[in-house]
Formats: sequence, C-alpha cells, structure tokens
Amino acid sequence: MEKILEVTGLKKTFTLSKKQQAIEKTKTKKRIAVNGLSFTAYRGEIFGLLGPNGAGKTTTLRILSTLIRPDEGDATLDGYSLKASPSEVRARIGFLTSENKLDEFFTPRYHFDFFSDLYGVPNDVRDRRRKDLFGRFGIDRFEEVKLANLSTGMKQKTAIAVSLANDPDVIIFDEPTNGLDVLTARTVTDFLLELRNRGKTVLLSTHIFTLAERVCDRVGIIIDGQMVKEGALSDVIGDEKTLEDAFFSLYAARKVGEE
Amino acid sequence: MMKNGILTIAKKELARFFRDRRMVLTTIFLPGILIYLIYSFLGSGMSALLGDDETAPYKVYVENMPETVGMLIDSTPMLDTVTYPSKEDALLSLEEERCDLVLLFDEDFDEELAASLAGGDVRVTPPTLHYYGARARSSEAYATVMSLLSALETKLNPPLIDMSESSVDLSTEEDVQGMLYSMLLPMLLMAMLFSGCLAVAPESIAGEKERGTIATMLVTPLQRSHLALGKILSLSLIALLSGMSSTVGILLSLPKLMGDAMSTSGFSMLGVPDMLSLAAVILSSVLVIVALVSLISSFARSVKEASTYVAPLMIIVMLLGVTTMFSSGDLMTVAYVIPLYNSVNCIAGIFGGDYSFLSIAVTVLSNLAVMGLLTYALTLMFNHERMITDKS
Ligand SMILES: Nc1ncnc2c1ncn2[C@@H]1O[C@H](COP(=O)(O)OP(=O)(O)OP(=O)(O)O)[C@@H](O)[C@H]1O
Ligand SMILES: [Mg+2]
Repeated sequence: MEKILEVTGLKKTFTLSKKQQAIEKTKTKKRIAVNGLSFTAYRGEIFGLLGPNGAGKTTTLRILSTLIRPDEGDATLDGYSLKASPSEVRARIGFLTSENKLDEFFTPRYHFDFFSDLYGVPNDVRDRRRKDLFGRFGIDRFEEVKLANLSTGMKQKTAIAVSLANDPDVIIFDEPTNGLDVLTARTVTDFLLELRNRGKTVLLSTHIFTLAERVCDRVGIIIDGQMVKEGALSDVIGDEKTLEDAFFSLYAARKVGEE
Repeated sequence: MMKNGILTIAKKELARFFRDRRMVLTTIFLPGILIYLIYSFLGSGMSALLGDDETAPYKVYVENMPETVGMLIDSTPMLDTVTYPSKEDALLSLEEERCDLVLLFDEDFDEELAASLAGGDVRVTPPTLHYYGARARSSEAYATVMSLLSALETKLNPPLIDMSESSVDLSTEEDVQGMLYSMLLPMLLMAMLFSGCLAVAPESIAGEKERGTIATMLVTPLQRSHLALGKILSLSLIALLSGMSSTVGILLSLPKLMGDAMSTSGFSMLGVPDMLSLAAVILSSVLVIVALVSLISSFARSVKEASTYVAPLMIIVMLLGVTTMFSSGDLMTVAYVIPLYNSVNCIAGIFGGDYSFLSIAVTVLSNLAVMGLLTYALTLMFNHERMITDKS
C-alpha cells in the first residue's frame, strides 16, 4: 500500500477571545484543539476521522487543507510538505467543510467555472467535468439557478461538485452528510465509495459511527485532540459488536486514565 | 495554460456587482440623484459657507471723501480708511491684496447730494467702486460699503444713484468659478470617492470573511497576491463609478447651489491637460482609498465591524478637504508624498487653476507606491489564518 498522506505530530492551540471565554464559561485563555496528532492514509482508501464534538476534527482538516498553520508538526501529501509547499498541496486536494461557503448569489454553473479557473483547468476539460459531476448529482437541471433559491441538499451537492473541480487525488470532506436527509446523505456516501473505486483517496470526518462503519476502510478515533486508536475498521472494532461500542470503551478507558 | 488569477477574481467581483440590480441602483445611480436633489433644495444656504470670518476691519481707499460718507464710514468699525499718494497706487494695492476696496467719488458729490436732498432736480454722480468679487474680503468690503451707500440712497428723491452700474468687479469670470470650485470641490470629490469605496470594499472583504466564502477560495492554489490585486482593481472601478455619479450630481446642482455667482458648465474652464491631471489624481487616489479600506476591513469580523473601523478615516478625509478651503495653495513638493492630503491639494490646485505638473507627478507616483504597499499588506492578511478563524 502506498502512503499518500502522512501526518506527524500536529499541534494547534487557539487563543480564546473574551467573548468565547464568556460563552464557554471558562477562565483559561488557551484551548488545545489538536494535540500531537499523527496518522497515515493510503492511496485508494477511505480514511475516517472519528470523534465527538470538539475533538479537533475540523481543526485537523483545516490544517491539512492549508487554511491554518499548525503550531507544531507537519504532514506530507503526495510527498509535498504542508508547510514548505502549500500551493502544491492545494492543487492536489479537494476540501469540503460546512464552514466554507459558496456565494449564494451565483449559480452552480458559475461557481464550477470560477473555481475551475482558479485551479487553472483548461476550458474543454472543465466543461467535461462539469457535465459529468452535475449529471451525477442531478444539478444540471438547476445549474442556472442562484444558490439562494436551491434546497440545502442541492447546495451541498453543488459544494461537493465544486470541490472536485480540479479532479483532486485526495478528497478531504468534513462531515459531508450533516444536515442532509437520508436520501441525499446516501447519494453522497455512495459517491464517496465511487470515488474510492476510481482510485481516489478520501479523508472523511464524522461523528456518525454507523456511517463510518459502512464506508471507511480505515479509521482513527480522536478524543481531545489526540489520536487514541488508528487502524483497519475491523481491527478498531476488535471484539466489540459495533464501532460505536468500540468508541465507548475507548472513551471510558481514557476518562478513567485521566483521573 | 495557466489562467490569470487577478483577472478571474476581478471578473467575479464585477459580475457580483453588476448582476445585482439593487446594488447597481443603490451604489451607482442613487448617490448622484440624491445629491442632485438635496443640493438643489439646499439652494443658496451654502453661500454662507463661503464667508470669511476674520474680524479685522476692511481696508478702504476713498478718493475725494465726501463729509457725509466720511461720517458713515468712521462710524462703521468694520471699515478702515487707508491713504495712498494716488488713485493708481490704491488700485495697485487692491490688486496686491493690501487693500480691499477702492472708492472714487466726484469732487462735487456733497454739493450734489445736498441739492438733491433739498428737493432740487439734481442728478448725483454715483461713486465708482473697484473690488475683487472672487476675493472673500474684498467682496465683503464691497457689500458693507454698498449697504452704507444704499442707506444714503433711500433718502434721495427720484434721481437715484445706481451704484452697481458704476461698480467695477476686477475679478475675471474664471477667478470667481475657480475660487468656488477650489474651495468646495476637493472636499466634496474626496468625500464622494470615499463613500464610493465604503459602499463596496467592506462588503467584499469583511463580508466574504463573515460569510465564509473567502475560505473556499483560499483552499485553491490561487495566489494570495492575485486575490488582493484582483479585488482592489475591480473594487476601484466600482468605487470610481459611484464617485463619478455623485460628482455629476454635484456639478449639475452647483449652479443652483451658488445662485448667479457662476455660469453653468463647471468643467468648461478646465483644459485637456487639466482634465488629464485630474483623472490621474482621482484614479490613483481611488486605488489608495480602496486598498486602505480593504486592508482595514480584512481585520474586521463582519461588515458592521468594518464600517465602524473605517468611519474615522472618512472624517479625516473630510477635514483634509476643509483645510484646502482656508489655506492658500503653495505646498512644498514633498508634501505631495502624503497620500490623501496630496490628492485633496492637487484637486484644489487644478480647479483653482494653480498647480504644477511636478506636484501631480509626485502625487500619482506616491499614491501608486502606497497602493502597492497596502496590497502587499492585504496579501499577508489573506495568508493569515485570521481570515478563517476569526469568530464574532
Ligand atoms: N478559531 C477558534 N478559536 C478558538 N477555539 C477554537 C477555534 N476553532 C476551534 N476551536 C476549539 O477547538 C476545539 C476543537 O474544535 P473542532 O472544530 O476542531 O472540533 P470538531 O471535532 O470539528 O467538533 P464538531 O464535531 O463540533 O465539529 C473546540 O474546543 C473548539 O471550541
Ligand atoms: Mg467540526
């Protein structure tokens, strides 16, 4: 198996603003979001990053997509270091998170073409990809409708299509099914499997264990910014019945260890 | 083939703006229309602004001072009589601003006046008044003396003195317009350009940050400098259009605002070189203002916050504009290195018909350099994770 993403010792600490401190009723100024995180993803697999709310999943994925810089540690993607060659990394990934939005004023088609331009995709290739992806998701009928007038599901499908405008090798999706109904969610997860079958690597974060169990080849469980278990799905489940059960025992063991 | 990021970004900014009819209406058409309407209604109220509130008495030279008028002038504290060896010396003084008004009476004025007051059918020879209507103090001295004389005039029987006919305003038409424009326009123009920038830059920078749409672009290999430059160039174009709309509104309403003091077409007195200088100054100023407002907006968490950050800047620009209303040109060339201040003074100079091409060149080059620095700073900001992590 070929390593495509190697993450080593990522650490990220945020300074909380006064307002955040007030909201979270805490006196500590610093918040360690990611605390020495390491893992490896291999080419052609779906790797699931699992953890409860606030575990540090989004922060980790933002670091991997070069949006924020780690305080410590680094990662290499296809051999390119995040810190040393961020542009090379950006050219090779597609990133989707609910915090990154598309301007509601424009249509799916406008967005797809605009982002293709930013990636420097030639026009003929762009048109082929757009037809492909829009057809796959049924966006083609709405491609000239402003996002503001589309349903949540259609918006999310557009965001997915746009994130794939550069035909990336590594696809990083943060909670891609959040807020979607079961039908749309299933379209998305089916698509993830399809991408993997085409040889793409998918890095997926979720707190929904059943979803992970259904699509992931390997998983890593993050609690409080630390990787507590990483391995093939079956290895992580081990003797437990489900992934969720495995998570609960890991979580309980960790909390006991802390006391 | 690598596509140009600057162009891609600029195209999107312009599409975002021009496809939004409401935005085009409120940013480009409304300012001009509103300003035209408001200023037209304001009417002559504005002329009060042009007054000079210096309290020193006006210097008046009077030839063949009649007793009656002498008493009137002596009892008016705002008027001081000055003496010169001859009428010619007095007129030279007037031209050189050492004297505010030259008043020439006929030798027989008092006798004619007495005869007229006694009811005789005598025509009083009116005095001749020389003054500069374009100079605040001179025109005020003229107005003061005129009111004294007209008080006298009302006591006369039919043969009236028509003094306005014998008054000589030595200002040329261009002097008058130049004065009005050079006092008012720099401030108004800068204010209009500035509000044009305020209408678009915070929305485009802080707004995109607030809505999380900028993060989506930052995931791509788009160079941050291209993002900064593409935004600044396209926003400048929009700000320029918005500023131009307001300016047209002002120019159309100025004649109504100023009353008869000026003729209709304000720009007619600018030659082609003046126009080109003006365009270069305005263009480079807009680039500086947009870059500055964009940079400041990039620190804000929301459009609202950005507006509060930028508001003080607007006041500074207005104050700079006001300084030219009361100062008399003649800046050292180095002063034209200071952004905004240089623009205001250049515009004042151009409309006042008194500027050098060197000062224009220094202004434009300095503005471009400052815009370059600000763009670089904005590039650094786009590279900073604050663009992603700032939460309100
Ligand atoms: N910009 C920020 N400033 C301050 N604290 C932050 C910031 N971003 C994240 N955090 C904190 O870091 C921790 C990890 O957050 P993160 O969003 O990575 O978690 P997550 O695993 O994605 O959670 P969720 O399931 O809720 O999305 C949380 O405690 C969060 O409050
Ligand atoms: Mg998250």
